[in-house]
Amino acid sequence: MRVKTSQLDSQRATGVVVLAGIVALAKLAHVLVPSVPAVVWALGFGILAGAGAERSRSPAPSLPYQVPLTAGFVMMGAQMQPEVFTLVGWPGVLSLALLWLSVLGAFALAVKLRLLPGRLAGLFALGLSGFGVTAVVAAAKYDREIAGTPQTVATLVVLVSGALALVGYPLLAPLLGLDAATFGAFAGLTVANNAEALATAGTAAEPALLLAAAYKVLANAFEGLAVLVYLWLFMPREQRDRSHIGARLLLPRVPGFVIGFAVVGAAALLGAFTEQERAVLGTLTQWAFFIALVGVGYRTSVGAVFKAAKPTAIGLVLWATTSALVLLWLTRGPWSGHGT
Amino acid sequence: MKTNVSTIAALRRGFAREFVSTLIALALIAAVKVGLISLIPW
Repeated sequence: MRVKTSQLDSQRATGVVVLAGIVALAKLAHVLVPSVPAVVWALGFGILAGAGAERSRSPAPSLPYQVPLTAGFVMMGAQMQPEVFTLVGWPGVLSLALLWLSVLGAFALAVKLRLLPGRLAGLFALGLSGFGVTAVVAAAKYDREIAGTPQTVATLVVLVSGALALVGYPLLAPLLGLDAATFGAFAGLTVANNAEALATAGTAAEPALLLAAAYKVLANAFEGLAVLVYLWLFMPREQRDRSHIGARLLLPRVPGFVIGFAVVGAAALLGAFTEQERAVLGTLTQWAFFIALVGVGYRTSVGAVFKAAKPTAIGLVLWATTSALVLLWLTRGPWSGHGT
Repeated sequence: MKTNVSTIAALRRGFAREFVSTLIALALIAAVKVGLISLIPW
């Protein structure tokens, strides 16, 4: 590995340059045609570049989009205001519990009906319960059986569901007359990956983005626990005992950006930022997510979806069903419109 | 998947990346606080 360091460095540099190029193009397109939302441009240019890189013979550079994503998330802490807690509150925690119950129920049913193999269904449920691709990666690290194709299929379902939400939710919102707070809660709950959830929420007015971020922080806090539950259910006992996963998994799984967001958020709550500083940081956050979204699009492989069409389709249908249930709860439930 | 890195190596790199990203974010926040960034027209 050590010998390859310089090669890795040059690959990384290429990735940064390619990312900067696509971002510049997408931004230019947005400046020229501002009626199309910035997120659509970023995602579109990313997908195009990704498709082009897939076709080319030379190895495609991987784009370092996680850096702006994490940085954007931490900076978003500056937008934290006491109203967020009033907006999420206990009804928000209940909504998250409802999401988990419906996702688990839907995939358990799919296994009962022999639509999906148990392990893959468990992996889908883990990814779609709001934990996203990182939880799938973490589970695959310990459960060798799912490394490879099941992991790829689960990752695809999470990514495609995110892409569908990004395109579909903003169209759905005016049809259903969703207010910004409900829209943010809906995106934060039902879009599994942080990047897509925030990008989707970003298409609506504030406090949509802030609420989505708050729900993401809440969900991410449970990620380590969720991975453990998955491994308890699906990993053979002797393998589990040997690896002592419990202690190793719980400690490092509080993601760094959650800590960063919490620290900056606490500072914001204590009045560290003026209105003007908040506005500037808001612009910086939007830029960070714009860059990250180009990378998300780049990573979305349209062709690979067709290869595992059946489980992918079942996973997506179940995701759509549970999302609809959550939406029904948010709009018609006992606490509907609690933030408005 | 387009990237061909092993999951373990990816996770390890992920932690380093999170640290760097958080530092970048804090540097940007500091730059806004001292008034460096608000000078740039958006």
